[in-house]
Amino acid sequence: MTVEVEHVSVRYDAVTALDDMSLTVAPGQVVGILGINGAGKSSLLRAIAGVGRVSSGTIRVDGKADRTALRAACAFAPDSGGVYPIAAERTGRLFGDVWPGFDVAAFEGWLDRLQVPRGRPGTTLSRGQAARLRLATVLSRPGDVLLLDEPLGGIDPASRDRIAEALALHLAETGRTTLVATHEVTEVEPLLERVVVIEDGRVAWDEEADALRARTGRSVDLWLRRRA
Amino acid sequence: MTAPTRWAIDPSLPIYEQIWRTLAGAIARGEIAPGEALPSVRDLAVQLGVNVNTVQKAYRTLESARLAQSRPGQGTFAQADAAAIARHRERQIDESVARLLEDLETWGVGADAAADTVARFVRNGGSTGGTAR
Repeated sequence: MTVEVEHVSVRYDAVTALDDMSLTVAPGQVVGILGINGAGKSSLLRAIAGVGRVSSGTIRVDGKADRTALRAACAFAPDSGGVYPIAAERTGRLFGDVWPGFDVAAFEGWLDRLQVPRGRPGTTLSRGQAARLRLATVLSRPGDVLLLDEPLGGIDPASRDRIAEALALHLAETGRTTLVATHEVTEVEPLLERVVVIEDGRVAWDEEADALRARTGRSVDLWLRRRA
Repeated sequence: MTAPTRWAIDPSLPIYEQIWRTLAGAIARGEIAPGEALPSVRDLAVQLGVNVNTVQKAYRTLESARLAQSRPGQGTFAQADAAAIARHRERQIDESVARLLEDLETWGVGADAAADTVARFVRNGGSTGGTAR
């Protein structure tokens, strides 16, 4: 599904999180939304997911702009939360009951593959375990557009590798249009076709990842570090 | 098939190029037999942890170089087109020579002296030594 962001601004009182941003993502494309904390990455993902504020401008997914349609089309994983004081496997059954189209069997499979401990309340999980649980949840949700906010944020290298592997498998199987907001690129870099750098709520750079490598002789990760 | 050679992706080089060149080399050297199926796009993407569209692009490049052929619904297969293999081999050799010349240049050996230097290296069994004779 095509994602179209047209002249979108997001303002909170004195703060402008997104400033007249425009961006189009083609169906099946996997895009890295890169930038430092506070650049506007989360505001962009939340706006596309139909859960965040949009002060002006239009967002369309598959041509539809109303928030209900956005919510139905997008599987969104925020950068925190998504854990509850019940065991992970019970979370899945609960989502299956209340969330139309949630795939409980797929969720069970992802819990195993991502090695999320069972039988322990979600709230007692480590940061890395909670991040893997959030990923298991979002990968089992319906929606043709996958939106991941900092899926690797501040977690251990082993968890990051596991997340990158799971994501590679999921994307190869589903071909979902995907936006990954992250400031840590290393593990997901090979999965990204295109990189969009956001600075001060605007698109500061937008290029195919392989074109960037050919042009600079550097990895996206290193290029980004040098740029900062 | 399993991948002909285990290889790690170098993120500082275009990924589709690494994929198509590795496979082209394996096909040109006969490590992947003519007619043999290449891994499916999905399998290779998962195995290497890269984007499916990147593998797709690598396969299209292999096809336009006539080193592989895709059959609808069946996958992509290595192709033993002698002219294409010769072209690929030539291109690889050209690149190797260009790299060598570039490197020799940094040591003050110009292109005109490079052939003599290489000949001396071979004659002396692995050394260009004794420049002052």
